[in-house]
Amino acid sequence: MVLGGAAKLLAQMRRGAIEFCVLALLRDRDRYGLDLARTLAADGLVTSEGTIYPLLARLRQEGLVETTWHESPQGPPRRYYQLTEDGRAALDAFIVQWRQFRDAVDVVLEGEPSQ
Amino acid sequence: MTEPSAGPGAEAIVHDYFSRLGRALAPLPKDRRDQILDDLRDHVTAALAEGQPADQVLGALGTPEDIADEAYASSPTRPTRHAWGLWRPRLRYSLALSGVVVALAGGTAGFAITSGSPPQHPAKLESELTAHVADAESTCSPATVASASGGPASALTSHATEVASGTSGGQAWTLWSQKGETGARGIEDGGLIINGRAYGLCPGYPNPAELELADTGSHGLAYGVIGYPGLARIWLYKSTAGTFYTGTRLPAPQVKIVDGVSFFIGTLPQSACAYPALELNATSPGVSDEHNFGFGTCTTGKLVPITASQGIWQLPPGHFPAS
Repeated sequence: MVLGGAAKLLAQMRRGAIEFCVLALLRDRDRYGLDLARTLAADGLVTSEGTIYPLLARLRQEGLVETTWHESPQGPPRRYYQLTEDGRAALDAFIVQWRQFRDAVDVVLEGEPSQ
Repeated sequence: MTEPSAGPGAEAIVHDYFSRLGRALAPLPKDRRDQILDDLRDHVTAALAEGQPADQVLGALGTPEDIADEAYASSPTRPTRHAWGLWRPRLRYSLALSGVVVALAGGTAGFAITSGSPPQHPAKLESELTAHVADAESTCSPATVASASGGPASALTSHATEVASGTSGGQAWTLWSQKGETGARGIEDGGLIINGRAYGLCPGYPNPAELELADTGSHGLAYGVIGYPGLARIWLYKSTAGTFYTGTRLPAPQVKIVDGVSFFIGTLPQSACAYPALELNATSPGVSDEHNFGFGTCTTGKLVPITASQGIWQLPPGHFPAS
């Protein structure tokens, strides 16, 4: 039961963090969906590539990302995602909060240093 | 119908997958469901265009039910499995699916996908743009063959109707639209007659702007069509292929509305051979687009072959972020 609970909690944490991972991937350059999906899958952050698209749709509706179409030198035109100013602000805020949270948890998990 | 390049039976596999996905997502609000379906269609089309087998592409995507679960997990109105199992896919889904199926059948996915399901707009502008600006209706494929251009006018007049005429740099021109077609599509399938010689109008990419560079004398002639409705403002620049660089600004071309879209034509300061690349920025009512074209070796009396092309469209009016 404990392990099952931990797995569920980790799944919830992953789901909560994944949108900021998407925003972070867009921080330095625009990317198209297939590129984002493969990167996140390769990093083990999503178990299947298709599950990021509901998230991307929500981020677009919330105005955190927007899209433009670019021609591709090979194959069809591609919809590129880019970070909006609101998205960049949300990412910056998350990074601060995440680091505080991560550091606090690490301190507790690692225990007090021996004297 | 040709056999899909994505493997035997790929069309049926993709069709079944999207049927399941459409049913699974049916209870979602339409705009959200359409976004997800369009994005997944783009993903599948791009992956198939890379030559991956369809079953491998869909396997990496995950099951439609997994995707639906993810969609509902973050939806404010989360339906139960029982409820969404009872819904049926609606029209928009059918359009999205047809794009994928046509892409599979066509082999060159990009051409089909744009005609089957037009590009979406940037999120913040979506409602505004869809209210005022139709997606450009370009089906430009295959590309104009530069080496075959400059033939007798009869090659064009036999299957097209004259829709506009004028002069540019002292050269008389007439514009022709394919019989039975209208708008940008008719013009792209028609062409231009300059000094009695026929030239096409189709670089080969399905985007809102087509441009050709003709070596018809001591000064190059650039002409094309902007597929968005209404009169466009157009800026031409010397550029570098593969960029959106705006170098020396060139004289503004003439622009006129033909069949509801903008046709432009302009004489350049130098020979066509002096322009290895051109940047084309255009603003139509409510929407802008920017494009870059690279050109190969020029030959007197013919179009200069296009060797590179890239573009961004559905941009806010007057915005050319990549330039």
